[in-house]
Amino acid sequence: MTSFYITESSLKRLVDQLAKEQTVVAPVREGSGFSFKRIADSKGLCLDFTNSTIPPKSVMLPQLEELFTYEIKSGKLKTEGSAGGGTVTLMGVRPCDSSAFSILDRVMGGEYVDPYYSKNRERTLVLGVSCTKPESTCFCNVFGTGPVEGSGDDISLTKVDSGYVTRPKTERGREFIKKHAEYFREATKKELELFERESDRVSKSMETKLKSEGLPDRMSRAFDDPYWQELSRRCIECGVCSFVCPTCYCFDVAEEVNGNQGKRSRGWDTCQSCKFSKMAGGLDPRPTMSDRLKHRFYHKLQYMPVTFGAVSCVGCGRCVSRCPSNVDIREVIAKWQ
Amino acid sequence: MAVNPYVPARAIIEEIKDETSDTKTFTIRPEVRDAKSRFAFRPGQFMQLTVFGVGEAPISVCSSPQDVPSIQMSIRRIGTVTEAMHDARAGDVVGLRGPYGNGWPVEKLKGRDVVLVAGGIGMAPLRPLMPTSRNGMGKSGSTTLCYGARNPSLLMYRSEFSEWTESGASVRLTVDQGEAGWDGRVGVVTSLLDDLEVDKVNATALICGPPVMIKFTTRKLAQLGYGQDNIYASLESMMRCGIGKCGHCHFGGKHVCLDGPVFSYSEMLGLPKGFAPI
Repeated sequence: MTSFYITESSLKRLVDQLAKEQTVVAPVREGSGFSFKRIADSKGLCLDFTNSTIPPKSVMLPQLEELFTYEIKSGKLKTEGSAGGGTVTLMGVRPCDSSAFSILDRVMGGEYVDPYYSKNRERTLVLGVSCTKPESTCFCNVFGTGPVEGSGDDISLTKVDSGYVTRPKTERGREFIKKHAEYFREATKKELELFERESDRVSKSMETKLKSEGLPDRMSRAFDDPYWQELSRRCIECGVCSFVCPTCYCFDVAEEVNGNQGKRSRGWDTCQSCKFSKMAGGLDPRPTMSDRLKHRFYHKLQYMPVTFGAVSCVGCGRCVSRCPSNVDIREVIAKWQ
Repeated sequence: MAVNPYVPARAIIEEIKDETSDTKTFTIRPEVRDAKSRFAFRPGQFMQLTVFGVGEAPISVCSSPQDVPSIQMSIRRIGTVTEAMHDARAGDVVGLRGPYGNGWPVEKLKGRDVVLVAGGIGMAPLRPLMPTSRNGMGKSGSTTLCYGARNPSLLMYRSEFSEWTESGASVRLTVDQGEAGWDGRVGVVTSLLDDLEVDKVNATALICGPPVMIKFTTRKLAQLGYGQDNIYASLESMMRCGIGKCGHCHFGGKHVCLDGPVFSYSEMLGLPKGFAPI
């Protein structure tokens, strides 16, 4: 695999050019945090951050997304999907969030392919950027989803000196570099050595020493443990953990009516809501807060490995830092590791 | 975009029949010309039914797979979509997607005695398995239906009981509470299971009903000597998509929409509590 190098100033010029031709979504400073937003040029671009408040999964699975519109009386389909055409470059994606795309790919593919997600995924080039300073709440090392080069990247950038070692990971990534060859050059041996050293430094800077091997098995035997009841006493069912999670994909569906026009949309849902599993007529397999909090951890750490072959936590730490009542998935992992 | 699995096909309500005080049976004809291929289904599968302008709900198909292109759904008035269906009239347009789910293990029933245990509207997905003059089960074993409802007026498909009996099925009924004119049995549905004339080792039981009924029926059948792999129940779950994406019915590594809704008792025993009512 050929590795390339792009200087910071070349990257800025590349972004300026791209932003003229297509949609470029990148991390920008917003309030006290960072958000992924469409940028018009490289001025607002900020790669000096650790985590965005909301993960860039919103580019693939928007928080609210139109599925289709129709005429109510006739049931005739009018429009299908709200996703616009054109290619998107999603840049500055951290390895945890990029690895989350690989997990979402498993859910949204399979026997029935989700056409909205797959269209967004197909039209979006993921330009990932390795982490330089993980936060104290980060634990991507536990699941091998970071801190260097995420598995959903088309191209991975890692900061070395005043530029980035650039490694294409997919055919699309290689094509991109070929197409924009004037901005890249081959990485030197020294830069590759520095890349290895930097990767090693960042990995060692991770504080968490948790282990994930055997976790699904041990959890499968812990379902009736009083631990879950105890843990749920802290939860206030706000659902912020789901909304900031890069792998939470559950959605609810809603109907909007305007005269004879109907619209069906979907939006992020949370299994922490008391409505999530309640059926018409009131039956609910998870009637208590304890059932629901337990479900979140089992879904991520046990059910997902069984169904999709992957733990659906990437260790980004957002749920840990955002939880208003100090529920910490790292504690859960430590308990059952 | 290739075929979008979220977009329902238009279908026309052909006929509406009052089944019980809270349930109507709808005959629905998908408009799609190649409906035979698109809506071919197996007994026990469900479809996502859209009332345009209101929403969508998973409903099991209660007609026989041979009766396509029209299908039937028995719908109890219990939520937003079903409420709207009860207000619908023949000729109204609805939407259909599917069929989804695994359905009953029909191929495993050949040559076996089949015991169907239904509670209330749980009779709906079992109805396509009942023998009729047009649709004999075409296999050697016996068919026994044990059907319970809260009261006699809530027993569905009453006009079809005699045809099922004439076609070789044994039909046993019970109600929780009798009423004037009811001279049948009063009691829970499990009380019908004790003295069935079936070869338990060579019998397969198929159950559909409320969770508490599934719980006691699976237990009772296992005690009576039916094999854990030969007891099946159709489970319910909240779901939005029917195709394994929305996450609502994903428990214990299974999707009710894709891996179910029919699960064997031995599968259910391996799942976390709350998923299966056992």
